[in-house]
Amino acid sequence: MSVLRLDGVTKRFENFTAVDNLSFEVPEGGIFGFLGANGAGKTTTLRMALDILRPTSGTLEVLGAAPGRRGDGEVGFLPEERGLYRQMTALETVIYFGRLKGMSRGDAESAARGLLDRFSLAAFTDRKVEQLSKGMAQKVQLAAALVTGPRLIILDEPFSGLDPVNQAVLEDVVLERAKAGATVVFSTHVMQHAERLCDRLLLLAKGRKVFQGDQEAARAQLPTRLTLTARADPRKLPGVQSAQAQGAARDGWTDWAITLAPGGDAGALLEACTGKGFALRRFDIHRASLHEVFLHLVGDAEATPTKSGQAGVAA
Amino acid sequence: MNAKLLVALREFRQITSTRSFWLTLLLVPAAIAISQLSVRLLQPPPGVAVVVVDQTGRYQGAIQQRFTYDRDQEVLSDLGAYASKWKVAAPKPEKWGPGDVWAEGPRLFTPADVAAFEAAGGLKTAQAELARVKPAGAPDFSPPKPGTMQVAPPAGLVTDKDAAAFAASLTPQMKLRVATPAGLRKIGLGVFIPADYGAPGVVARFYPDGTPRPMLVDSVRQELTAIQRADALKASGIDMAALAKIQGVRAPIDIAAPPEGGSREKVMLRSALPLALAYLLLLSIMMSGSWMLQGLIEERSNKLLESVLACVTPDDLLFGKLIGVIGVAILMIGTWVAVAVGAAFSVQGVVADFLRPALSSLSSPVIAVALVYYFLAGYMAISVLFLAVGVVSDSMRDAQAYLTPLILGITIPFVLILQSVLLNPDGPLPRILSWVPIYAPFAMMARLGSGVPTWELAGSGALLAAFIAVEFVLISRLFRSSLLQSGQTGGLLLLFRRRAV
Repeated sequence: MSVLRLDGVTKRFENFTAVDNLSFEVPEGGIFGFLGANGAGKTTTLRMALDILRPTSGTLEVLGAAPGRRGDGEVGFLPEERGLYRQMTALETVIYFGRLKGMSRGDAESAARGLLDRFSLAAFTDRKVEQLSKGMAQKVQLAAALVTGPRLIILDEPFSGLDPVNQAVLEDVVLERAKAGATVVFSTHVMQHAERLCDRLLLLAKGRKVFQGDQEAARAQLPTRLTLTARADPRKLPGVQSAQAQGAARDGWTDWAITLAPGGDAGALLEACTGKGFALRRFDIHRASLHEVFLHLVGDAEATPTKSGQAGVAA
Repeated sequence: MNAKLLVALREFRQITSTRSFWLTLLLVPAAIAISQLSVRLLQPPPGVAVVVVDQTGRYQGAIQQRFTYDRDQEVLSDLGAYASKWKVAAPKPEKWGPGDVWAEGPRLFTPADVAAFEAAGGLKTAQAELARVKPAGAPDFSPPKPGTMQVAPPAGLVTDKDAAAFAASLTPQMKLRVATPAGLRKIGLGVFIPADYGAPGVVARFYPDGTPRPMLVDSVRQELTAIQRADALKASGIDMAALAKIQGVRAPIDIAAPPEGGSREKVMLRSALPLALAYLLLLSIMMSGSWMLQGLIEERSNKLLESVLACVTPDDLLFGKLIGVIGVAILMIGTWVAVAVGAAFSVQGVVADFLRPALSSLSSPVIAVALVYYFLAGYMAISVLFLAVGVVSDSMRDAQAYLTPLILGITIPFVLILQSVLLNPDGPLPRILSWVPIYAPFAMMARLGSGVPTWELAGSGALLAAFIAVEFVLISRLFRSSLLQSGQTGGLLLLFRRRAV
């Protein structure tokens, strides 16, 4: 079962197209990364999933139904633009958002205290938001998003503005919730977080999907690269697209930067070396990082002009 | 709890936690307290004693009679007001006596009325009569404090020499207080009438204490003039008996008490509460509208809206805010009315005398229902406009561009309505504006005290309800289309450009 499904969704703001004929599904469970550069259409898509915005065309389904505020707290949302009522205390804030999503006061208070304790804010529950640091206020907002124990957690750029310690806390929370059975969808343009957390990814560029799949499939989008130290020139080996000598030879041994042809397999190359008695001192495979994949896929898409226009409204 | 109510409750709490709310709430109690205080502070000074040295012996009696007459006029006037206010009924099976000229209520009392009152025993008789017939619960009649009182020359005052000696001995006396039947009084005026007064070039000397009292001086002068004029007429050979008869002639008139509820004063009194409520409506809308506006702008500038809109629909947020602000209005007006009613029945004096009859307009169910309806409907109709300003503004500076014309557009017609109603409740301006939904609450509330035809109330009320319904549709559309459009221009044009975002 998919917890989020988009089918041919387009969203236009006057003459600007923020999301262009987007279709994808997020299966239940796990962590789903929603990646893209600034202005790629991530926030607009998430706002449509929450019924804050309505699509110009296409359909969306959230937990098997049309998007809407169902009042059952099944969806938790942390927006990119953070803000809280400054005069409310941390505890009141979390309770308020819990109650807006249909919780009773008692349940909301109990859950709010647990979450604030989990985020090391137990001593600040009665402190007004305006008296909290920015990082504390962000954790209060995260608690407000999680207070109902939602099945689907949507986090829009959750790591922005957090210091490394709090980023680690947030990563732990995301992993905990996913382990407990919730589906976490989060958008980011910082690939390190996605690399550490995501089971599946979707890359957006200019409102269009450029990739969807798991991390291995994403990395497979780039040719495999290797570093070899060999006596002979490896350019003639099967599957090698290019080989670049790295400096002068030392005692007859030269370092080579190898790029395999698309679809080339490092294991097959090693087998060929062994079979041909091709002497090797070093055989290092470089796994492509998501950052490189992102630059490769999104960079190409960004360089392609579209009829959509230039600037973003609410991407 | 319903999402709208949760939003309303939060809005209510936020507004009622501000200092400006509490300052506004205390306005009416403070106004009543200041009125009470100012009534005390502005009370006229107690009457003064007058010393008359009449070496001719001919004028003193007339002056004394004049003071008594003036005093009787004051007493009769207060008795008339008392009888009217407490609805004092004639004793049965008897009728009012000839001296009970005050029983028909306040009016202009003629010398004949005063004479009849005095002949019947004056204040003592009236008080005895009232003690018998006043309704249960009415307080005892309290006569006004005596004003000017003529006193005998105090010891040490030179009365048998010339004016200069009189004046010299009077100066130290004027710094003291002399005993009168109403207690110790300051000598406010000394009058010296020399023995040869009436001869050419001889003048009566007036020595005031420094406070201008032109009416007192004029009263004494009128009596002196009357006697000297009679002397002159007698000297010219006119028959004194005929003269007395001529002077006694008075054009026969009868001054009736005004009909119940028909006088301008009574209409004004009945209009007082509706007019006051119209003013309070304006005041509270301006205050709570700006609080709501600030709250909405704070939500937008604090990037709060996205979090809230993920939990509630724009309509829930919109109507929750309206419910919250109407709750604030009800709290404010309820407190003000409760304070006014409490003051009306717990304090004495001018404020209470004004408030008690003013509250009588609530005794008519139509007026009471119309007051409540127009108050709440007016609140909604105008609050939506403030909300619209908040929706299309990113900051208070942005909002000012819309607020100034909005406030002027409401306040100026309101002032014109108020002035027009005070001059003529059925004038064309209040009647026309009763059919303009934004102004109908003010115009109708201002006119309610003087009576508005039921068809006009129903028609104007229905039009106002339809206007509010249209406002809700438009503000709902505007809310959805512009809440997340922070930083973009377009303002109210969004209403027409983006139908469904």
